[in-house]
Amino acid sequence: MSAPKHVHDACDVLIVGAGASGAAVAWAVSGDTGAKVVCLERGDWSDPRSYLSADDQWEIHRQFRRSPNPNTRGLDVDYPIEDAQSPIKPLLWNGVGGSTILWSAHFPRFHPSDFRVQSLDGVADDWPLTYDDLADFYELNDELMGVAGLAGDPANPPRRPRQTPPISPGKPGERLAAAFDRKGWHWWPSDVATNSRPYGDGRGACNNCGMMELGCYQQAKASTDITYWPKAIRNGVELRTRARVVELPVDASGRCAGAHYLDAAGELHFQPAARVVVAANGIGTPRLLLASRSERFPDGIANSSGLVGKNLMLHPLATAIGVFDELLEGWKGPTACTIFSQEFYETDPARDYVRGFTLQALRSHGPAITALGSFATPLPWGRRHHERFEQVFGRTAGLAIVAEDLPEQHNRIEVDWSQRDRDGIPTARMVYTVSENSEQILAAGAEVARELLREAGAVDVIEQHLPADSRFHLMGTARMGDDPRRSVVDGFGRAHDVDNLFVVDGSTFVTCASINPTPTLQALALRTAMHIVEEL
Amino acid sequence: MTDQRLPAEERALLAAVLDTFLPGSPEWPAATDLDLPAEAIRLAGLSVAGLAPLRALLAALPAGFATHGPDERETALTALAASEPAGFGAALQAAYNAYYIDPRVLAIVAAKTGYRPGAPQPDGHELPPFDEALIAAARTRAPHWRQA
Repeated sequence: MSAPKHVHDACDVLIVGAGASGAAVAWAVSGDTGAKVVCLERGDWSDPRSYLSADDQWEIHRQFRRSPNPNTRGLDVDYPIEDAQSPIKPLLWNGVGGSTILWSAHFPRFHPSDFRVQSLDGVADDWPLTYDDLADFYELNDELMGVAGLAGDPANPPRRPRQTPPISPGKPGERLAAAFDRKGWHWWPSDVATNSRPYGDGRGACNNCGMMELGCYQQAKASTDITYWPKAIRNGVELRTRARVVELPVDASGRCAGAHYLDAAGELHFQPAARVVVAANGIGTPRLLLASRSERFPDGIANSSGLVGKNLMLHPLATAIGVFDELLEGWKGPTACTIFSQEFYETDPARDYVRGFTLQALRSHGPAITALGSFATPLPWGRRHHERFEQVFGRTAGLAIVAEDLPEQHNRIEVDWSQRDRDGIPTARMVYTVSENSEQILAAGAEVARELLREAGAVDVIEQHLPADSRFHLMGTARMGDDPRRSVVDGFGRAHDVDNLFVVDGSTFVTCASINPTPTLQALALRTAMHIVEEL
Repeated sequence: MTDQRLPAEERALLAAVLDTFLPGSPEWPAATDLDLPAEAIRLAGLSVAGLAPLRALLAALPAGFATHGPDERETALTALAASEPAGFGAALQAAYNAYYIDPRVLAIVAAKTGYRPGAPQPDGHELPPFDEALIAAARTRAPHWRQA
């Protein structure tokens, strides 16, 4: 690498990535600590008043300019991800707020059992921490993000009252809730990081527009650009956008010296740092670690275990969409955040698989995306099209079956040194196969979903197995653990090999439960940050 | 920059494809009625692959496709769905997108369902309060998370 053109003053904490977890760390290590904190983010700020949900062609933008798949939108802040060897494609956003800009804001917590799957079920590994170690950080994170929901869910440990009441599930959710009750199966209103009433710094309430996936125009949805970041910046954190980190160099002692990055003009900078926190998501983090080769770390920094990039988990998904003979107006309200069921969450020895699944209720989409099958198989074309469109549009209530994915080393992110992006960084390649256990979970989940939808009165059920563009959940590729031979970082996210290098995104997950990961990765990030603060 | 032009011959073929996908009915206009090809071409050009997949599909159509009857066209396109999946998918995506953002089609959708065409923001929809009566039965269940 050529000599940097710009060398900055050293900082106490350098954060790579301004998304869900990077923002949490930035806030938590700044302020009263007096620490000099710098964050490097490859993307830009978003302007909520420019979100494309306010454009008449919003359904088109959802598929192209603001597709969550970086390979589909092809923006210059994105990096290529070779995904031909994975049936599930990566979804993410590069920018301040990271994927919380486009996410659906589901905000469930892991269960206590999720941290002890080896002890309880004899599979995968236990985490090096427990639910109780994270409980206070979950609560703190809820307060900072703002959660709509209802305490008292009998399927989960107690939690404090939610910041705002639950989002109404609308007619589709009400149909499903009644069916769950008749079956005697658990359901509860989803915890959602979206205000049902104004909450937070100037943030409004959800107006049920149904298109949070394009960013929230009302700033009701908790993306970290409007939750953590304003606070962090008031604390003095310096956030540099359009800063593409290309390498984490090491010093003579083998510690991480900081980061080399390219600015918008393509000029190379060096930001020295006493501590480096990588928060670049389950693909970007292993890509950066593997690309940071040196004499000391020829296989990539922090990779003596050989596990950087390995054990990729994605939460395989299937959907079952019930078609009803009445109008349910499913275009109103957040598509994916209404109610959920964890009746089948845990391992049941009577079944053929281990672990389980969560059911998440779904509303529906606008006319164009409905015709396109809601990102799966399009409605029939030809002379049957109009009749089928009329049967389906606004008349559906669905269930997403979210399977717990178990870690397998052959599922991985690797870097391809023969293909580099415009910055000279090797391309990330996703290699992933859905396991037999996950397939069995999805099959069982589909059977349950069909049964529930029929109970709810569906006259038809449209099933989708493994829709490709379905996964923001990128986990496991720099797993935590106590044993340096079997993990990359310890329980505080500190790299076993490099004591001033931390990882705080979904990469550190040992297992992934069958729920959305963001509250857990943010709670872990806050815990790591508090650990760092003790050192400052 | 993606070249979004198509020669007249290919545009005519595309029009026939679109009409096969969306032939119209007494209540719904056909693609032809809406002059859809121009918009479909624009929308297909938004893909990172540009118009190449769409043009590949058009090139693979049997000779005389535009003059064939509906049954023959459907048979040909059904075969191409398997043999030219990328081009077929691009064409169908462009067709549905162009059709369902057309104000004339959206007016029909609105009349049939009460759907409000246009951007979801800034108006949104009324967010009704959560009805806690819904949860009455679910609340009665005893705590049942697994102890660890």
